[in-house]
Amino acid sequence: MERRSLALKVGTPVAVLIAWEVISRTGIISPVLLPPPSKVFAVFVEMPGQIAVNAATSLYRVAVGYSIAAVSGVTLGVLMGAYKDVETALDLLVEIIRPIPPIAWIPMAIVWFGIGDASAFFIIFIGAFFPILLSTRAGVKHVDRIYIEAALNLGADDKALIRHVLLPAALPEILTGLRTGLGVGWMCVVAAEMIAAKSGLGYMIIEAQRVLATDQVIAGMLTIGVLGLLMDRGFRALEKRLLAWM
Amino acid sequence: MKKWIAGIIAAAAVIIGVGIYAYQAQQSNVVRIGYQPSDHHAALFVALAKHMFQKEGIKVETYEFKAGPPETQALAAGKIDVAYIGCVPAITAYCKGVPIKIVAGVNQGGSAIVVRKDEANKIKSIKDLKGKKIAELMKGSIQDCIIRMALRKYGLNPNKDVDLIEMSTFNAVQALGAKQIDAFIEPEPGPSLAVYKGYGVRLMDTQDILPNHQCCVLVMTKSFIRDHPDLAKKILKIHIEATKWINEHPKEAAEITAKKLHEPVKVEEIAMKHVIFSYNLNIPSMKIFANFLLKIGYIHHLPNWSDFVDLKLLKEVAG
Repeated sequence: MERRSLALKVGTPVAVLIAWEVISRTGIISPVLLPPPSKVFAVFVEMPGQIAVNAATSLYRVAVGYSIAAVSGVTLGVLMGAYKDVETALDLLVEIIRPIPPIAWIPMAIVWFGIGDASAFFIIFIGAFFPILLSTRAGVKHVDRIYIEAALNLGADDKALIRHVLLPAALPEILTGLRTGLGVGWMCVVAAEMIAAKSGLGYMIIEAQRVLATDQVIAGMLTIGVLGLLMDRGFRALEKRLLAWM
Repeated sequence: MKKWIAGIIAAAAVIIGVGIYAYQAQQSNVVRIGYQPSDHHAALFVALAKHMFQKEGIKVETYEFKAGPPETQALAAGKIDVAYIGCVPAITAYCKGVPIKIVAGVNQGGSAIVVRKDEANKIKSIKDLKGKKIAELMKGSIQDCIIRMALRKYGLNPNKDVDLIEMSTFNAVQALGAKQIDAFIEPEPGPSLAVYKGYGVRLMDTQDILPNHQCCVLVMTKSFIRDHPDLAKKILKIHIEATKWINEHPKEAAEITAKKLHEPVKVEEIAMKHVIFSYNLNIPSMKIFANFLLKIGYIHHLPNWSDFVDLKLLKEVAG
């Protein structure tokens, strides 16, 4: 069974690559429209520096925008989950802003922050903030009443209650929200860079598209995919460690 | 295992679907022509306004593109058969494997660098553009190629010493008026319009950078020439006729472009004077562009000129 699942896991991507190479090489689909994988991989050999610099730029932008979203999303989520008044006051506002896709904010981001890092930070923040906020709020609200009453009986004040009961108990959902937020933030950086920046992987893709360098476009896409996968896997590993006590 | 089979069937269905779609597109007798909203493509506007296609019994569909690069994508995808397009994006597309041929010239010169009026006394030469925000039509366009050539000639790095941003022609004129940019390089009527509105001052025509340089060309896909040689000849004949007509009737031609581009006739009369309309090609200038594109990495090899530029049809039609 093990061997079978490994064969399936690796076999499918390999089969796709071979079919892709054949389709492109034989000209069934023109190589401009679909460059063969061998040409795409050659891009990594030809311009590793350029890809690395652009990837680093995109990662840096996500790190900043996501950190702001994580801190503010968890804080506001805990407050909304713990205090009925805060939730009532903010609920409608959140529900109106939340469905607006991050990409729809790009024109306003350019007007407010210009072309560059700040616009990208903002778009990533918008994308990552809501999944984190909603998961945190839900996590806090789902904490068993018994824990809360026990803590109150033991004389816990609000601060102690949040710190020692609500946050640890809501941690699994908060982490899920943080992981989802990271994924959304990573997608947002690429979208933001396509329009509102002059560096990064998103910009690299658009630049390559202008001169029909479709091999570079796909190389950029693959870089985005692999980095996104690594981030997700890394976060899952972290989650496992943080939740080991449960 | 069933999922595998389903996957293969789905993939096959997609490939067959795409194939049928592409096949149908090829079979149609409607000629699909791409162009840009610029005076450079006045020959097409004249041909349409004078019903030249109808008189030859040809049905055409026209598709407007903001700039050359998206037009090359349409050529690559087989969405258009004929394109009025800058020779720079055409060279790039050809070198990347898009099966096209240049069959005639469209215009020479016809773009300009315009600087903001209140900056004009400070920006007297290309080298004064250092640190400035310059709008260009699009990366990969002929304007992009020429501004990069000019900047490099004056020792400026186009990627570091200036801030090049993409903007369509009419947006660039507005942005110059709103002082959001310091200068632009755009095709006519952008420069003439900016001067007419009092937003800017002409710093240099692209003509001054590379005299009589080839700008736009008439491009056809190889499959269109192969499958519809008669249509290809008729399109070329109309193009020649319309180009001659522009040079013989500059005033009426300006009226036609004014109507098409929604600009005052006065502006068009000035703008059209900055464009040389000719169906002949300045091939040496295209070779200069190609060498430069190779140097800056937009292309990885030079075009096979004898395949890329095909003047057989032109000789047959124009004699």
